[in-house]
Amino acid sequence: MATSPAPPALTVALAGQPNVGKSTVFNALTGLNQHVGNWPGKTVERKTGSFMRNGRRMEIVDLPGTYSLTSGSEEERVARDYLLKQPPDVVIAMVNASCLERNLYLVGELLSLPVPVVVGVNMVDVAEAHGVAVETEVLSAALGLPVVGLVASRRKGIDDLVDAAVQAADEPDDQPPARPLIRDKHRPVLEEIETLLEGRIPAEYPPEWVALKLLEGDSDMAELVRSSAPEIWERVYELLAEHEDAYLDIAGGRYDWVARMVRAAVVQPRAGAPGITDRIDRVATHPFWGLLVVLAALAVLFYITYAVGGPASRALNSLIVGGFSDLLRDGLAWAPDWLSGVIVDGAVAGAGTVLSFIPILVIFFAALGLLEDVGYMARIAYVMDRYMHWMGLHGKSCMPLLLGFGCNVPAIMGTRIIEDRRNRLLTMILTPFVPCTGRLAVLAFLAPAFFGANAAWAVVALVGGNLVLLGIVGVLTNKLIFKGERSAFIMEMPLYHRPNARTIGLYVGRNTWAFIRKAGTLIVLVSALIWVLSTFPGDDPSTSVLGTIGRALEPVGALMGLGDWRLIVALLSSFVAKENSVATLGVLFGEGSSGGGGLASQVATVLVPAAAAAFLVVQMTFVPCVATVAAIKQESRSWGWTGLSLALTFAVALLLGIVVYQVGSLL
Amino acid sequence: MSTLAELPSGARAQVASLPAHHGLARRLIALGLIPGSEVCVLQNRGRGPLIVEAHGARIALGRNHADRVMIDLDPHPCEPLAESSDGIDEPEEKRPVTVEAIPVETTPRSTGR
Repeated sequence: MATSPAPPALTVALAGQPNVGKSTVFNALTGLNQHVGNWPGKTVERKTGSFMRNGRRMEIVDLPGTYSLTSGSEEERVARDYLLKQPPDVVIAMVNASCLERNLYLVGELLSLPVPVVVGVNMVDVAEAHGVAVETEVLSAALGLPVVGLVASRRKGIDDLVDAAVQAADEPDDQPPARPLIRDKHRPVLEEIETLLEGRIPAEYPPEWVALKLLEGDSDMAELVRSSAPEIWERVYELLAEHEDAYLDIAGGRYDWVARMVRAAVVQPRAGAPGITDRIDRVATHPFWGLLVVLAALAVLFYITYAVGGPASRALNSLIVGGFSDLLRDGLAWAPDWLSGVIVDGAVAGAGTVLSFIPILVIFFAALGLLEDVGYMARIAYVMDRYMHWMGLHGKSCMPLLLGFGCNVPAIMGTRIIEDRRNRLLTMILTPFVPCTGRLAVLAFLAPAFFGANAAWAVVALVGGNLVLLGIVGVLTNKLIFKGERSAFIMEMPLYHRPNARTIGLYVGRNTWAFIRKAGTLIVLVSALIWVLSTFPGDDPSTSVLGTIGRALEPVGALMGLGDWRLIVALLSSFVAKENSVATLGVLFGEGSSGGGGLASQVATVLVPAAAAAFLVVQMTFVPCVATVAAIKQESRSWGWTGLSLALTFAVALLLGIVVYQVGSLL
Repeated sequence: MSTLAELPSGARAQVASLPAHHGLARRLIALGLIPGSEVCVLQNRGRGPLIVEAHGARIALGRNHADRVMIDLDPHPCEPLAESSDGIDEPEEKRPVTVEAIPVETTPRSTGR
């Protein structure tokens, strides 16, 4: 090793349509050695990673999963800009054996770019279970490209794929692959535009590719030609206008090419034998039974999350946080009271809150990840689509909204799966109405003290109320702001397949980490801050800064029966993190952070039932926590929409609080 | 000529034309629906989105879009997910339109075994 110089590092891009198991391959290659961020200036996730292969460093760039490189979504722009401007040494194009025809369409597009391509045919096991056999040698011969069969979830074929990629990068094949051709009718115009472009556009853009994209109606390429070769633009524009329908012949040419490739290499199942997917979907996509299955699946999901996660969370809180606080307090005996107060009662108590949510979140995300990984999530979206239409949304919005039951922050980021901006914004506006674990924890803590034996009903009513509210706000927002526009529901329904523990593990890791990183730091800092504000000046909470603010707001609170400033401050502190309400009440009602049931009943004594209900309603609907607000700003890239979300939730909470109290007092 | 949304479960057809909206047409193409390609209706219950299969891929398609995809019917039926005649979501007034437009052997009742 030391004697010969290490061969240069290789950059490998992973491309593929959604549902081909691209991330499974990425994870199998890079393990935990990966970096997730955003593409510069975009809200598109950028995953990179590296690994060593025979002493050689391999850099992997996971391109966004897209169906084509044509339709102009942000993901598609990112993918092709990268391939053109920083061409990797080789592209691994992933396809799914059971969906080969459609998946090869993207491969057809990749072949018009000047990079070597290696094809990985994934999930050959799933395809075989559905009676489809892919002969990789035949496919390879037809395509003129290296083709490797894989079962990525079991790491089968991964090494062969890497070897093939290294070889393709080191010794590019001088035989060009069989590339798709535009159908005859439009071949002359393609050639004419290509000749016009020759030598007039920046060198990184192959003229043939640009000509194709122009004919496909690509506005970016039109802009490129207009700015870099204005002298030919008029003629090009004329040709494009004359051949407006050329895009059909280009796409058609690609499908013709795909059909030729597949005809030889794929053995189709004999007709009449329904696969496992058909048998499940008969029930799972049925308008009535399918809905029952969705409800049952969600019921099990929440039951497991709280039955297992709840006790785990409490144990973690009392054992680790409680024990740790006591130790720390002893250790800080030398320090002035205010310092140990800030650290132990402020920061550590706050960190404890964050920590105690982790078991619940991990279990929730694992269950959701399982539904996603086996392919069931698309069925939830399908079944829910007709109900989502009432809000002008379509089924896909269900997926981020479901995530919101865990934590609103990953839910806001999860709206990226929704293609059009209108739908995405509306989903973001609705997400804060989904009660997250933070709010549910407060509810679970206070409801028994407030409502006694009826607590369970109160919880169901409040959570159900939130969902009804979500529906009403959705219908109104759609009517008033978006004027009832409808958007496109087109979604792939992947075949069911066995889940992969690693993929689910990374799903859990990613979503939990979004919570820890965003919420964790903020909660710890602000818990310490609140402790300070509630202690100074004058050691007595009622004269402190926080007390003064709370008192000033008492007249507003009184409308909701919340005339006690401590309750107002608790609600305000939920802006930092929903679960903070309890901790704040603990501080203000003079209990330690390990207060337990004593605190809840103490709070209950200052509230009449109508006011208790109002308090919980406001708590459940009040403005999203600061981490969620930050996520909305980041993902919407608009202060306007962020402000709207804040104003809307604030107004709704205030209004409902007043209504619930006033109506409740009459009863 | 009829639209994709009018086909009952189990019908097979060739796509004749796509919606004029360019962006929508391109998304449909990328998901496998292009003039000339064969499409199978796996599920159409008269309301809600359809499930169709094209180029070996299964996609859910909103009714409002399916309504803008024109098709030429193929007399050979394909295997639907379920018989559409289980009484759910099939308003009577909607069905005759689709059934009449189709040769007898492809109606859901006759494909049922």
